[in-house]
Amino acid sequence: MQARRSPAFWLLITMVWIVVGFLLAPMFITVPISLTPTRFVSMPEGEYSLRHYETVFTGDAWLGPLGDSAMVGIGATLIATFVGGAAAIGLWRLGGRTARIIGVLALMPMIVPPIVTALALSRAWVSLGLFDTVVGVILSHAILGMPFVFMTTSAALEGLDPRIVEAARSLGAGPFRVVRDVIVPNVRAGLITGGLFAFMISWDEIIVTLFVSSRSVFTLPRKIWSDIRDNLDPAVAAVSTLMIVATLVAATLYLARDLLRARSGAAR
Amino acid sequence: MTEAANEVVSGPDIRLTGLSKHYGPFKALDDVHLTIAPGEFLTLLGPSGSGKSTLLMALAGFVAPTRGDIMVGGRSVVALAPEKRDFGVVFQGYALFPHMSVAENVGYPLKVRRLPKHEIAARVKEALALVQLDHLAKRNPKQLSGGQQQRVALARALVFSPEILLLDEPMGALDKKLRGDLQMELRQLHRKLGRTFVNVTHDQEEAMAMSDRIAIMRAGRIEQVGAPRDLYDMPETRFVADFLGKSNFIEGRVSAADAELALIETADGTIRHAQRGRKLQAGDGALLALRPQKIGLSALDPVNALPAVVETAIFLGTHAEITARTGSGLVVGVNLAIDRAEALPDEGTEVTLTFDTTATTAVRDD
Repeated sequence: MQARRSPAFWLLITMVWIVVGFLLAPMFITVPISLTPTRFVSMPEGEYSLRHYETVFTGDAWLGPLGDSAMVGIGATLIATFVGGAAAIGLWRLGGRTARIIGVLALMPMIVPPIVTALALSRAWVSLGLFDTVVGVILSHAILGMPFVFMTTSAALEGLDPRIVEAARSLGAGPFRVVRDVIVPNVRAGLITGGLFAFMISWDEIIVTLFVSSRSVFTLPRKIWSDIRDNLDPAVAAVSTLMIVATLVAATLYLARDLLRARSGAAR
Repeated sequence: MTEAANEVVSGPDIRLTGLSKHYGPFKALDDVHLTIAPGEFLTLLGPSGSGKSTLLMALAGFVAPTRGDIMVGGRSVVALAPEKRDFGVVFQGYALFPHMSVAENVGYPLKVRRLPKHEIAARVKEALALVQLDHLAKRNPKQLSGGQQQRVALARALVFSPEILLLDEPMGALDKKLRGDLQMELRQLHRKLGRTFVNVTHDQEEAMAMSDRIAIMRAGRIEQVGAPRDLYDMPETRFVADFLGKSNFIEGRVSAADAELALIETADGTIRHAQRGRKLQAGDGALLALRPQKIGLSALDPVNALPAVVETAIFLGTHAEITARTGSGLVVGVNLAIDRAEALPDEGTEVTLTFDTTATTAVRDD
């Protein structure tokens, strides 16, 4: 059975590798460029240097935006997770047609084109005095990330018996205690996944960010964008490489944890 | 009436007065009056949609009544949140917390009540021993069988010593054999604890097996309340006679009646009916309920005799089930005990259906 593969199988394998190639190709350009010894963007020819990494890690030019992005990302993730999770749980408890309609509305920030959201938020923030403030950017990103938390949490709630809420209350737990003790532990995976989505969306968000900030909040994508426009500095490649490495490390750790878990599960 | 009354029964009575729950024009509960004595095992029995679960959930605090009051020990609980009522509830499908072990599930109500850890551990152990599950304390609920899950739910609902235990179709998801075992256990548990149990079911056998009293519900109302035996022997309405066990119904008109006996003219002849329960007057229309097992085929000198033709005759081991059609076209079901079924009549045979004056019960048609 295993010895003979059908042509369809080989076609599929070829397609998979083409896709993987497309996805990985940028790495083979970005990583070498980040190691070039020259001051301009070029492929290194025999000589390598870490000078662009030094640029990234010294001074405020890159560390500032990195800090801004981290702060905005974490803030937006916390808000999006709280609001999205609370909305999902509340609508799950509510049930019925009203809940379904509100559920669709909760997904709007994901459905509406970012440029529309950007324009709306920029106008709104100006009149509210939130334009170009950290709070304004955090709120904007939280709005963009919220639907993802809402979706993943709703999916996690799908498999939960609604009666456990009533059971917990009959056993003496108040409504908030029920959320803390019974609902959240059962949808933790959904909340974490949604939170990760929200963070990633904030981390590389550019369109809305451009519209709601100017100088005092300068996120990493914004810095990269303006750098590429003004002067093509290989430091951009260094930052990109760092992000790729960080992603690879995170993904590896995650997979390793899963493998360990599966192994201990199989042993049981 | 209750054996539990011999032991120490303390605790509140439950008094429902004019309890109603309307969903728009639909009356899930319609003016329910019911008093449940301390330590009683009462079952709410009815077909689906009769309001029995709504009534239980109103007691538990999850359904706010449109009108009426629920008094527990003389105090109205209608305004109390479910968590303040201190009733144990066993839910349909058990509603165990999937992220907690069996011991954590059972310990949860004690944790909420901030009991010290060692006391929680001791009482969880005790509660699990009560339902014979102490050896499974560390398991996850998903690893348990349906019957075991049901016991965990029971232990969890009892561990904080509530005076009232509410059970919403506790045997609903179990197979028949297991049901019988658990019914006995639940009944023994009730005797042992002497607390009030209010049970909801659509299974009449379960209701008969476990309850001190049964309240039969229909369309949001309580049709009749009483001990299982009384309900079975003396149904007041056609619905009760039909729902609790099987019944044949014979319509007629009362031609003569005194305190003891009524003569009822039916399409198949005169029936002599011993007056009990609902008194019949001469000239009344009458509806008689007749249990299939109270009919014989060959009594000597019968008091009541209806000629009929056997349509089907099925031998079922413990008894035989026969259906026969009378001259007027009425199809009557007959259950014959096995010793009398030795001469099982063939289909198409002419027989005489015989029964005593006390076999029939006059019921209200509705």
